[in-house]
Amino acid sequence: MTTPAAPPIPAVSTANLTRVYGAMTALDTLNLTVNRGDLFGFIGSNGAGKTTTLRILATFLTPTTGTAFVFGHDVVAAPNEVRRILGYMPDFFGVYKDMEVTEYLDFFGACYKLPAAKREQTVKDVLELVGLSEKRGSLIGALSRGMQQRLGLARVLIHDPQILLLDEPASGLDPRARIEMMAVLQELQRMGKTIIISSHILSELETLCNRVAIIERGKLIYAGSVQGMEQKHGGRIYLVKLAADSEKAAELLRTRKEIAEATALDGHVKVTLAGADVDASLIAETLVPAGFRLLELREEEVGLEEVFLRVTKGETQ
Amino acid sequence: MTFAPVLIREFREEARRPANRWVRVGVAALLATIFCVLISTGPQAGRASGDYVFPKLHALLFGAIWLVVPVMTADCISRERREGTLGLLFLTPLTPTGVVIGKSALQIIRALTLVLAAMPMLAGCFALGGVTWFDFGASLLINLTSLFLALSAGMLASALSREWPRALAAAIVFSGVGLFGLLASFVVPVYRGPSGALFRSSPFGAFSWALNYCSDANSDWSRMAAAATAAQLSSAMTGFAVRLLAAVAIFGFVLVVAGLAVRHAAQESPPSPFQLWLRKIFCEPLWLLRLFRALTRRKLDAAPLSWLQQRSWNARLTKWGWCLGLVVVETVLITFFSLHDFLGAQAVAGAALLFGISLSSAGSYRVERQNGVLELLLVTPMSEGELIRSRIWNVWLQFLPATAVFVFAVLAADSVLPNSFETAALLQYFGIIAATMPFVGLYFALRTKHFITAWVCTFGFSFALPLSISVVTSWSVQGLALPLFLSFMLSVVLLARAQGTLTARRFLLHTP
Ligand SMILES: Nc1ncnc2c1ncn2[C@@H]1O[C@H](COP(=O)(O)OP(=O)(O)O)[C@@H](O)[C@H]1O
Ligand SMILES: [Mg+2]
Repeated sequence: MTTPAAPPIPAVSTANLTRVYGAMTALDTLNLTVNRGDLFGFIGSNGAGKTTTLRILATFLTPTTGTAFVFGHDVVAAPNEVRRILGYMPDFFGVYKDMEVTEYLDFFGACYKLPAAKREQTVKDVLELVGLSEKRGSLIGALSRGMQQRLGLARVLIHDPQILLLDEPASGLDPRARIEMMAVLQELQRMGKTIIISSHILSELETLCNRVAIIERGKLIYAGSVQGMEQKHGGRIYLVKLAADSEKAAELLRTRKEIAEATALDGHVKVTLAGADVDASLIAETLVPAGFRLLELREEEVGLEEVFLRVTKGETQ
Repeated sequence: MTFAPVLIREFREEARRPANRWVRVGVAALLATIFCVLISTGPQAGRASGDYVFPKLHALLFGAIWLVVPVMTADCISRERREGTLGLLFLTPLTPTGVVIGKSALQIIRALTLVLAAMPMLAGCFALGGVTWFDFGASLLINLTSLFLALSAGMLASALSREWPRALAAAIVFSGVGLFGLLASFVVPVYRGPSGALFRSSPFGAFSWALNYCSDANSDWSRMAAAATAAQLSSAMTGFAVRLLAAVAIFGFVLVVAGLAVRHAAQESPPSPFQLWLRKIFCEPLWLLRLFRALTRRKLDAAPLSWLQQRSWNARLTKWGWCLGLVVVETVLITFFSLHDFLGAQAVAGAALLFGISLSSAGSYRVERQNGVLELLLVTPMSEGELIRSRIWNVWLQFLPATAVFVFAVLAADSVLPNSFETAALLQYFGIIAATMPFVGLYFALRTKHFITAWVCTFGFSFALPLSISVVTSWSVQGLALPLFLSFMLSVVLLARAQGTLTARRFLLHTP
């Protein structure tokens, strides 16, 4: 007889996580779960509370109220357990420009109390992994932004953590460096690491992440897959062409609860359906009996950015 | 040439700093306290109070100008260079000289407030009697002359530097040069004149006479005012006025030079191949670096934070530079001075060493705060306590060799000339201050935004505080108990607060 296995402990789980700075609530009862092996996108505009969340998970800050667990360890009660399995890369480089690349990694290895014999090989390995092997003897000040960012990634990997928190790692990089960085992250995911990566640009993470969370003003707005978000918030948009009276038509359409939004623009009505399960024929069924003459009904493409704006719109106003 | 925009910006920023109000209130309170202490300690019989208090106040102000003004001014331009805001100013129609003038105007006003704060008390001496117009005029002119020379020193140092330690060191050196120039302007006429034989036999004596004269340490002016003819007095006064004009001219010249230096810096011309070669040979000798790394590898394993602090050439230079410097100075002193004077000069040597310790203490984890490494360290298994212990231990270690030289010199001289000075008191003071300074410095280094503020607070709390307590309790060796106790309490409190600052992460420099 086998007993059913307990559900695996998630990589990260927070419950009502809140952080207050003075009178400002930077993080408001955040409930977030990240599964093992996820490449998790954490998205929000500037000041949304991403850095605050990551700093709490990295045990740098303590939450005002609420709890957070990393691989089952409480970040407040057992910070040292968390620190040993977690790598945190802030949104700045954190380097000494007059240090050599290997020296820098060696130093952080020593801070994580790796034995000297093991450190040399580890430094070599992580430099290999992020593609900085040729630069091992250079001064850090002489590296480009993209290389310094990869050095930061190497530093995060030095103690072989199971979970990586990367705060806006792609900001300020040119497209090429960005693509290289993403390739390294995918490689790390294949190696079984859980990765949380924050960004204020959704499309940047669209193809990379298997799950995303969106926060705005410290509140979680959405968590799940990118496709799920498109279905949930992507409510399709239709353009309706009428012979006349588009204002009145828009007014009538707005009375239906299945329709999220209807606005008249020069002879057209732009209609947004409330959900994925709403049928477009509803538009015709509403307008024709009321005597409107329908000339054309056409679906519009909705981009991911549009979805993102729509998701966060209610909060940013 | 426009400079009004810079001026306006400077004043806005100045008004925004809440610390400034407290600094002013503190300075005014300090001056008032000193004034009261001086009056209450009382003049000797038969002399008016004003006559007794005035020279002391003047000397205090004179010293304060030469010490405080260069330090206050030293980082005003170099900070902008470091933070990269200087380049932005030049995108506007402002010229470099305009920027320098705009920035210097605020410095002049800040320095003048120092003089103005002392004015009521100097005027109060009139009311107490025994002070003549000659005293008052001489004091005002000499202090203004000093003020412009000290400002020149600070502005020049700031324009020529980028990093604050260099700016501060240069400001102190330049202000030394300025003071030397001022004294020389009094020495040279006498030297050339009929009574110059005495000066020719002892240049050191000549300069100490000039220093006493400028700071009115022996009440020379009131004696002059009583004895000299009106024509002699007015010629002396003219001499002071000419020196002031010369100082203002020097200040103007320095502003022009500073403007040129700033323009040069703003263009940030790339270093020439020769400079690059020099840098490669002397600043990054790779083979030396490799050797050094192999040697320090053990330390990295045992105590990574200590390794970090001792890593830079700067730290090494500080450690052995102070030691070597002290050996040289002590050797010179013992060769050219009597043993009695040698022992007397040890107070100055000790103070210089404490100045070095205060610089290191107030610079604790400053680089790490700025480049964010402190945040990275605090998410490693390294604890806040380890960071604190390591820093304090390393400041002590850094000055251990120099301290050993100093203590050896004092004890050796004392064993030859016993009981000629309060050697025990000197060593005890030095010990208290040197031991507590790293705690005080670490706390202020973590809590203040600018290095200069951290340094002023460190020096004030750990050096000036115990000494002024001793002055108030009139220097008795038994009086050592009070400063000892207070310094100890202060370092315990600040140690706890430094730990609190690190734990609550209140040291963040770049909050959104
Ligand atoms: N140390 C701090 N002191 C005061 N307010 C802060 C501090 N850190 C962050 N905040 C505020 O908290 C909010 C969230 O900040 P942050 O987590 O950095 O956002 P994000 O990383 O998403 O841009 C912002 O409004 C910011 O101003
Ligand atoms: Mg952020």
